[in-house]
Amino acid sequence: MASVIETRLPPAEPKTSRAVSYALLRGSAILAAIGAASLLAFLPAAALVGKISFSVVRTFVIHSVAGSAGLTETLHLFVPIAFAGSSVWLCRRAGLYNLGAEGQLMAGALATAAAVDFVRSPGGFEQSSALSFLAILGIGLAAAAAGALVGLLVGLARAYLSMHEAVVTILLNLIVLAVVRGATAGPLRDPAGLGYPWTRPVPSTLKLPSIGVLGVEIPLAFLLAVSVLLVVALHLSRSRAGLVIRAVADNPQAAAFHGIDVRRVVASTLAVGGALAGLGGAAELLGHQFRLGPFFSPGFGFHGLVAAMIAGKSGAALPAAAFWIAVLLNGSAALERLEGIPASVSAVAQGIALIAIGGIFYRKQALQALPLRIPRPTRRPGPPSSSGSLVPEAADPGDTASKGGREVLSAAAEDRGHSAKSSVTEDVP
Amino acid sequence: LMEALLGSAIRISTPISFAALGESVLERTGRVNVGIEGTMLSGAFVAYVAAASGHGHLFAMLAAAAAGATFGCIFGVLVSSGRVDQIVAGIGINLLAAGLTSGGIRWFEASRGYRAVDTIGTVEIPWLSRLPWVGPVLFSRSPVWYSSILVAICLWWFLAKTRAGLVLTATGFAEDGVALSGSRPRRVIFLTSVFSGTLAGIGGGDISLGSAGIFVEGGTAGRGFLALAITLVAARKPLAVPLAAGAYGLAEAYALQTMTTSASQLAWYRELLPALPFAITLIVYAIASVSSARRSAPS
Repeated sequence: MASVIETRLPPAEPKTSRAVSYALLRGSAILAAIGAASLLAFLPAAALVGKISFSVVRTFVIHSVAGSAGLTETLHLFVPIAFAGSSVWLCRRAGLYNLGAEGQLMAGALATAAAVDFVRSPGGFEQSSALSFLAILGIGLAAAAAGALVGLLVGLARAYLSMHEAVVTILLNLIVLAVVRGATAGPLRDPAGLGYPWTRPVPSTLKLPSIGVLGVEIPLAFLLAVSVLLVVALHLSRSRAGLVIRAVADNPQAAAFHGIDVRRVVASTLAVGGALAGLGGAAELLGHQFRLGPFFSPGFGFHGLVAAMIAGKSGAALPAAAFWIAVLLNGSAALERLEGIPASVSAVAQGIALIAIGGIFYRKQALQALPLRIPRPTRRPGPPSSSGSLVPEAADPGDTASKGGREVLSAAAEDRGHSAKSSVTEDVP
Repeated sequence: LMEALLGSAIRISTPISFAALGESVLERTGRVNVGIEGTMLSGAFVAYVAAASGHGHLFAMLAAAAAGATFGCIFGVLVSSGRVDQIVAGIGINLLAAGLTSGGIRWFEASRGYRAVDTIGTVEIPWLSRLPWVGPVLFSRSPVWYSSILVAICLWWFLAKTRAGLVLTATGFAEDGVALSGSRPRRVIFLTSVFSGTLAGIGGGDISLGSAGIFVEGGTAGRGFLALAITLVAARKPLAVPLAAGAYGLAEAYALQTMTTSASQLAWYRELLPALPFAITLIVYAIASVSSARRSAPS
């Protein structure tokens, strides 16, 4: 038994230089795996069609990254994938599987379409830039709120009913998709929509512009997506709330023991994740497609899911993975159009990369899933000043935050082996 | 009309029931296979291709089972060590299956042309099918449905009455304890995931050959995910799975019937009806987990 416990203890911290070279090694290995996965998927498909040649590679590269039009399209595609990916990634860092980014993104898009109609309705929207900026801000808020509502529903079910979040999110995806179909076919339908069940186009005052840099149109939404990714990663690694999320994921028992309300963390993390995905829907609608219809999303949420799963723990790897997927999707769409190679090879490439990276590289540092039964918060034994909050009250809030955080983390590390055992025995009837 | 409704409920529930039976056994070992959707998809594809190439239904279903077993094998290899994230592995399997089948069906249709195949007919059980009321509903159905009931009963017997079944369930509670008692938990998990993949493949085959006779890209349309939910609603009890799946089938059959027969066929809220069975499943799952939380709460 002793050896069992030992294997579950966290590995010793490597020295900094070693850690850096290890990270570099790991990064290049992951890049190699991504490249190998792409080749492994594309080569047989190209061979089947009988087109293994340099022109295939050229088509792929020009329409995904090299040509300016292709690059702009890839950057556009990056936006919803990155937003959805950040949602999944954030939840995963809390030990939660948010498979519902698709539904949350669609809810955000639906709220955006409704808000656009609302802004437009009182007879002509003023063409002033300040007002349209405010309107876009309000629309974004509405989208985030809609996504957060869907996420919160999942979070409450997960935290207070012990329902498996993966199953709940999958079912909610299907429900939200049906609601979007109904809304775009009914209340929000464009009467002059050429017979398609889609919404009225976004007026030009509300569209997100593009910025021309060196002959490449860079969508504003792309810059927004990158900054949101940055904020989410920094939030998790630097802020107190992020520390709480990591503590909960590492050891919920220890976190609860130190007075963290794990249930509330779970519910709020899923709600924030939903809001992120909802923003992605707004960015896609206002920045790229301008109309919400049945073919709005080719699975943005699921592509974001794959990006987040490939990124694992690393916040820096997330944009890289999202960009790779955007390149893959655009390039393979061009291959289907021009060379007759089915675009579905991109799904195969993603699958291979996911299994290879999730299965091989993340073996040692696999993120743990939160147990279904969430431990209740217990008051911390010891000084009477602790009132069920993370940090005991003291004079300097900044200092205590870091101190309390360190305590939680070290306690989490200490308790790890034992609580993993006890969670097993707890479930035995 | 009632008979038709129950009939289509059973037809809808059969694939889900098969997949959920496999999943309920797998979940007893403490694993969750989200890749069940892709596994079913591969079964549906292989069964259609086999049938459209002129093979019989039995061969097609066996081929579907083999395809499912292959994906179950991949999942088992990845997951039995306990170090690989099972949700990641499952999603990877979904993507692989989606990409392979959608590319594969285009290639197949380009070379052989598009055509529907015969669906699996009904078999009347000699004596029972003549019973009033119950007979036509329950005893003149597809053989796949009969076998799903048979599998459910066998699984119940296996899990409740045999030592191997006990080891399987114990693996989910304490792998180390099982290892100490002389069994090999990794092998148990691997074999169980191959088995559950096989059942999911058969369920997928029934999607192609049971009602439509065709295969469309992504043709499982979330039925694998539904099987996951049905497993949880049925609390991983094999005998409860066909019941839960049947209840879902009834909800969907009702939604379908309302969609096709209601007077307001063009009304927009018709689009909401497909979500009704999912919503009902979600609500039932919520109620089930509330009551199970009550039961296990310390008094």
